[in-house]
Amino acid sequence: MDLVGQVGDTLTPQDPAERLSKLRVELLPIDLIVQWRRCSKMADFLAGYFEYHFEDRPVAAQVLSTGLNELIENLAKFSANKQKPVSIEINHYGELLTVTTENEAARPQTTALRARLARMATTDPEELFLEQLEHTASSDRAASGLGLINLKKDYGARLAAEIRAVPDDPERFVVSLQLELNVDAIERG
Amino acid sequence: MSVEAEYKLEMRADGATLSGVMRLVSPAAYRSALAAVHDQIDAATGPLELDLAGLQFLNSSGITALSRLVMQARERSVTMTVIIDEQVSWQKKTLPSLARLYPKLTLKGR
Repeated sequence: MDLVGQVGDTLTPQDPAERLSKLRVELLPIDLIVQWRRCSKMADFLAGYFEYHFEDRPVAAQVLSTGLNELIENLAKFSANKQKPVSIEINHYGELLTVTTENEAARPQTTALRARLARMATTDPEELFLEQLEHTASSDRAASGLGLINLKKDYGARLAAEIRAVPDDPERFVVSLQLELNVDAIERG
Repeated sequence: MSVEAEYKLEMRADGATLSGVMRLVSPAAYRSALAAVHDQIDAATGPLELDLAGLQFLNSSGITALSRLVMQARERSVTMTVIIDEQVSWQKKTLPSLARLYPKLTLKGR
């Protein structure tokens, strides 16, 4: 599939040979939509799986569950075809934890994500957080738009996305969202 | 960490206590879940206390919902104290930012 765009922060290149742990899960968004608590359950499971890498396991589990839940909720909400599998992959490299999600999204959601990530890469996250709060407080949209901003503001997450064309469907794109967290930021809670 | 935990909202004469895990699907879902707190702010004649110390998890839609409560208190000039537990990561990280929305909102550790 052709790459049509890259946006967001510059991420640290990683050597797979230095990877300590890897876990990849595929889900159907419809399962999450039908039982919303599955988002939370999956986030807790993944957090529990990776917490063993951390000295303060309860704190790490809290932080990881919080972040992963936001990403899983986004997969459920922004997947164009709720019956097409989406994926979430977590890799632990010692000093860094990376999370990559992949889903197919419609053009408006893809455009909005690109704009948000571009803005996040150049704007103070605290300022963006307050601006988004004031904005969403006065609307009843399905999503708050705060999740990614919050991960950056609270845990210093670095975020980037690759957008690829879907063959034969100009209105849909494969979105690969990559998130990178320093392990010490997770341990500080 | 319990994945089965749900949230509990207890209303008091001078505020409310929210505890458990709250990860509802959207800001709109929170609006109905927290309707009693919105009503209390509307009817308030004195300061209110919102105890969040027992709320282990809140998703970003919930943070939007909390901001709506804060903005409602701001519009009505209702003084508000939010009780927090600094051992809970999201509370320690997110609530100080929320407090910047309204100078009459005070965060108090449990």
